[in-house]
Amino acid sequence: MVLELRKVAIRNIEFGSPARIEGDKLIVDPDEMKEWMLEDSRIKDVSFDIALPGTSTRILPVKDVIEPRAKIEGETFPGLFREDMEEGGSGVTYCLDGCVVTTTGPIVGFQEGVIDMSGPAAEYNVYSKLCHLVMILEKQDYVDPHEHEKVVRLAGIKLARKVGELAFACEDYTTETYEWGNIGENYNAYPDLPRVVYVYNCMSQGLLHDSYFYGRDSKIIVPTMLTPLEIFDGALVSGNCVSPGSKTTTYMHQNNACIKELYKHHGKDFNFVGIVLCPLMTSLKEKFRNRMLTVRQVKMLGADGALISQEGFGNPTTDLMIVCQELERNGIKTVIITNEDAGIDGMSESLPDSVPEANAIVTTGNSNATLMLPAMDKTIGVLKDIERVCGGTVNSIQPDGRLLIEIHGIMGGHNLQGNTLVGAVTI
Amino acid sequence: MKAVIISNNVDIEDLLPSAFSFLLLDGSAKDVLTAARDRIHLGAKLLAHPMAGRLRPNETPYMTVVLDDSRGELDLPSFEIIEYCLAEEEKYAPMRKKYDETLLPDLRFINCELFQSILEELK
Repeated sequence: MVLELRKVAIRNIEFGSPARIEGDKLIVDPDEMKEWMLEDSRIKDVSFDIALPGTSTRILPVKDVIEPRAKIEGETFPGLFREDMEEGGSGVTYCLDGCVVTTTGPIVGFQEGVIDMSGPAAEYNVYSKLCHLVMILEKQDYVDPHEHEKVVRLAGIKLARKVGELAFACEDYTTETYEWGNIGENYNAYPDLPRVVYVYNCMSQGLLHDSYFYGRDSKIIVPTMLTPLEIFDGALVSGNCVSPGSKTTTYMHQNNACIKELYKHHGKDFNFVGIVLCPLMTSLKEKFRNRMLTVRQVKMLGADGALISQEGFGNPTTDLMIVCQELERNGIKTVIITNEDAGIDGMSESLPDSVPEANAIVTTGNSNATLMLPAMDKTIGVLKDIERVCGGTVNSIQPDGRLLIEIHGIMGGHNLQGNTLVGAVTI
Repeated sequence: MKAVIISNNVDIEDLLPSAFSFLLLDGSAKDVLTAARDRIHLGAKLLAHPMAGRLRPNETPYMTVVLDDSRGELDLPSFEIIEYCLAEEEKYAPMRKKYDETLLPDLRFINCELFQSILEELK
């Protein structure tokens, strides 16, 4: 299986008509986009805005961030819009690199975060370096919270796909080609190198705490083998608003930093042989069932080592730890990625669960640490919502307009696939 | 199995399946966890992780714990998890948020939603 990603670099967005790409500028037509969105009768009204890197702009509360991607043959985000579906991950996919569709608007209280396009918060997340086409949706009164979440999720993906189609006319792009074999081919590819499997945890706990795999709620799947290529094509999308710092948005799935890093070392330091998607659920029975099925698949792939990325914190830490423990007990050396909640001063016990076998942990930082953010000239969304979002409090807004916020209130502030701008380096 | 739900969220009562008994506590999340801990010390088992979807303990005052209260030998996984949860509550006590009162119905709603996910998983 071969997937070619054709990346069209976007460094600016403007409103105009007709919609097109000129050089590195994306031009979109708000009237046309509104028409697309109002095809869904559950949407009462929609408006659009633009946020560019380096500007004094703040977006909150953010629900999802999606990179525009589209295919001439086949479809991106398979399983979401049509009854028939093809496996994602082959052929050619056009990507608008450097540009995202960002959905905003509260659904139920808390758990949506902040993106600042400049200032100290912008030093933390990759989102601040992207051009945002922001969509603000208003639902019909009769739409309940479940339906509301679905409407906003699908609207964001639909817009990302439509805007992605503008890349078809571009001839100026860079190409990344990824290949993936069957289990036997992968196993035998580099016989002298250790085989590594990636365990891909995804939140699966209920309203605003779900992910969708080919359109199916990940709560109702068991651990499943994936190809990295289908992830690049949007087979897995976010439906959740867990703590913004540790939330995996659809953008983070599409650009999964663990998969990219595994490819980078593949054939040199180790042999990347597979991915197992592991849903993070609530009951202990499901946790132990998923542990058994995940570890079994990792073993069936012939792994010598494993990498586990995390989503969320607290309850999912138990899944992370018990899977790590069982892999290690089976002789599979395991590295896990998690953030820490070590209190404002960094002095508290930082993990809500742990096992002695978790002896190789990559931390993405202490999410309880606080930041004072300067006032911004422009806020897309409602500034006062900071009092309700995760990481903010009723005391967040200072008399002079600055904001006091915990790092976990910043979207992607400590992304658990390691896709952040801060980190420790060995010197 | 003798399923028991301990909660400080009054809205949970409307969602109870007939086989579950319900203990509504007029108290904090820590009170709910402590009541669950006491039962676990006597041999009860956790059926779901108490932190399900609650995320950080300073973000919401609501807590719902689902237990199998048939007493027996001490269940080690339940014991470890409940102690971790209590430690988390204590860690977050100094960072407790002052709640915006208008947010409380939403927080109860989310707590109910996640409780319903647990019921689905236990079916």
